[in-house]
Amino acid sequence: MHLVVIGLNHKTAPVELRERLSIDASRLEEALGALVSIAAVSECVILSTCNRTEVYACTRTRADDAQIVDWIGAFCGVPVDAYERHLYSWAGHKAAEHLFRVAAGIDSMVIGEAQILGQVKAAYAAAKRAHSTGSVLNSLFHHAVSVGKRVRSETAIGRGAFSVGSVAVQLAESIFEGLQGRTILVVGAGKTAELALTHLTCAGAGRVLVANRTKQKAEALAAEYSGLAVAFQDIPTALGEADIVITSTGSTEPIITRRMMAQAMSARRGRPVFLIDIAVPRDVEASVGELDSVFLYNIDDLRAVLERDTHIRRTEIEHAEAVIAQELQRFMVRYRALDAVPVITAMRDKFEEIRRAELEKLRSKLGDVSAEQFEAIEAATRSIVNKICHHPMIRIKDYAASPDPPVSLEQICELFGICPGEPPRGETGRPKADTKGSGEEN
Amino acid sequence: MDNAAILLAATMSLYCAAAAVCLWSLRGETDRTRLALALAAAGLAAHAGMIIDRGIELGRVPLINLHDSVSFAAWATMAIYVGARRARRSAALGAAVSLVVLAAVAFGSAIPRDTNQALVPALRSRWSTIHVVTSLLGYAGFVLAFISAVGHIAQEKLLKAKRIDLVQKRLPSLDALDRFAYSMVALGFPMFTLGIVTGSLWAQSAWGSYWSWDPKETWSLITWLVYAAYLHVRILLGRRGKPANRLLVAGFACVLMTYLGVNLLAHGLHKY
Repeated sequence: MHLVVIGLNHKTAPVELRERLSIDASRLEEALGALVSIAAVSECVILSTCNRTEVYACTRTRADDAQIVDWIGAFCGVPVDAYERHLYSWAGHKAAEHLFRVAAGIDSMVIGEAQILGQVKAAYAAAKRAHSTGSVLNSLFHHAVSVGKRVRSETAIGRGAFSVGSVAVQLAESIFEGLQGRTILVVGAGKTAELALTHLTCAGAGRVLVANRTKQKAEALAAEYSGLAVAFQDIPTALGEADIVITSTGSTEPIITRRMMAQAMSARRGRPVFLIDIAVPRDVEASVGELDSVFLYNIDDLRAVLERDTHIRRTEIEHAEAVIAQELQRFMVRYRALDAVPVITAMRDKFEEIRRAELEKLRSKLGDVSAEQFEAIEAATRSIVNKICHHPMIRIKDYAASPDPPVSLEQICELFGICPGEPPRGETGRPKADTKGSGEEN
Repeated sequence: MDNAAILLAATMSLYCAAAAVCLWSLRGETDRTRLALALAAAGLAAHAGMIIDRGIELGRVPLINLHDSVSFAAWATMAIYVGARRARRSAALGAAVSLVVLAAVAFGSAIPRDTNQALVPALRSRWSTIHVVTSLLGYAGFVLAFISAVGHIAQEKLLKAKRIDLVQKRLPSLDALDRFAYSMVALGFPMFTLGIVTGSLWAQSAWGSYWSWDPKETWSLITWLVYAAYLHVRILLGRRGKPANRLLVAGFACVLMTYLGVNLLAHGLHKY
């Protein structure tokens, strides 16, 4: 049994390649079905987001990795040379650690973002539907989800500023004591501007004024926030009232000039004003920011704040790493214990075979015995086998789960003269579902 | 150790602990300003004990020299800060106030206590105590306004420079700092005015002249004018922000000159 992750992410591959190798949710089940039909692959989950495409799989040996690498390209229609050098592949506990870091949001482009945990859950759910998971990946993904949840609740990693909107709120709160009753003026409209507006109104900001060259647009947005539409030429007056101004027009000329703002400030009598200029090219003259009590932030400034918060979050990342290490240890105990399953099965199979063979011989020697008597002999021999197996079985499980066992599984196999792995799985030709199930029975 | 030394040690270590707790909460995520406030309140009690002990020793209101007056001014500053609701939750302001008060107590205790000073008959007046107490309460308000103004100027600088780090987040908002400074001047200015008025009444009864352009008197007039200008800017012009807060810094420089500088540089009628 060999747990492996093969994939690429925003750190190892450019966006064009990630796009070509991403697997859409609508094709996910088909992909999982195709992947698990490869003989060497017993279990698989595919995690494909805009930042990463990763295949988590259980294969027989390390040598089977190449089949997965080839399959990715074949399925997405990309030649192997185009992506091979961008791939990473981790096996065993490294693979588990990788998934835990992904679920914790540490491996994300915006560290600590919460979306990824949902994506991990969705990837696992899709694999469940496609019946491509088994005992190993079930256990792995359950642990990954609990890592994600724990990191979110036990560390402050998710509490930093993630969007332009939340930075805007933080800044506004260090200028104004509470946002209740503050007036916001929105000039122009755009997704980012609206996002910032939503954040600010959620944080308690009161009145909303909307100015737009198109009257209908202004009225539509104003209606959404039960605000007031303002004519474009009335912006100077509105500036006198607004505590927070968000601009995002497509204008090539500045909308708010230094003169206009200086006049507004004398109307405001020095009460501070917070200007957020999201537009590119800028809507507010840069020199406006030099005026007393005027705090002008453009989109680059807000992004820089986001960046800086990433640094502050470093310590929280350390906390998250501790959670990951803890869950990894728990998972590895279970993962290693799964290695015991084929050994135990092989051992039992061997004893059972001996029992049956001896019983056959006995039957021919005994001659006339009643069905009941023979049944009793059967039961007694079965019980002997069970009792003999009992203690070794417990020890094998313990040794498998231990990172440093006194006796290795190989030595145990040698001792009993069994060789697990191949005979019960490959030779008997049992369907995969049975093999997968065996992990849960024991 | 006598009572005075024990109380002084208790006062200083409690203020020190309050400052440390404030600085500690500035660094981390956890807010411990309530603990700092409790320590400061305990420090205030010890400090009050120290002042009362001194009063018993002297057999009168213990405000006969600079040693006593600095101690009382420091006590009043801390008492007003702890009593002021609005400023309570800021670790940054708490740390600054605790450190300033701690420094004042240390400075005051370093000045000789000279218990044996009997008042010159000329200075005995019912106005004396009121004059000293009101002036010192005025100074206490001005110290707090100054600390808040420095916070305001720093916060404004950080916001302008777009430096959004822990310090900036720990400082109260510009709005809160502006209002706190204003309320401190609104408290300190009438007190200080009363101090000047009672002072001149005292001067009249002692020397027969309300105002004699003694250096202390001149500087207190300058101080009074600066704070009057601040209130004018704030109330009549309704202006806030940088100019108003700069006036508070200038005002505090005048306070230092009036309270301490004059005694070091010139010799006048005032003992302290």
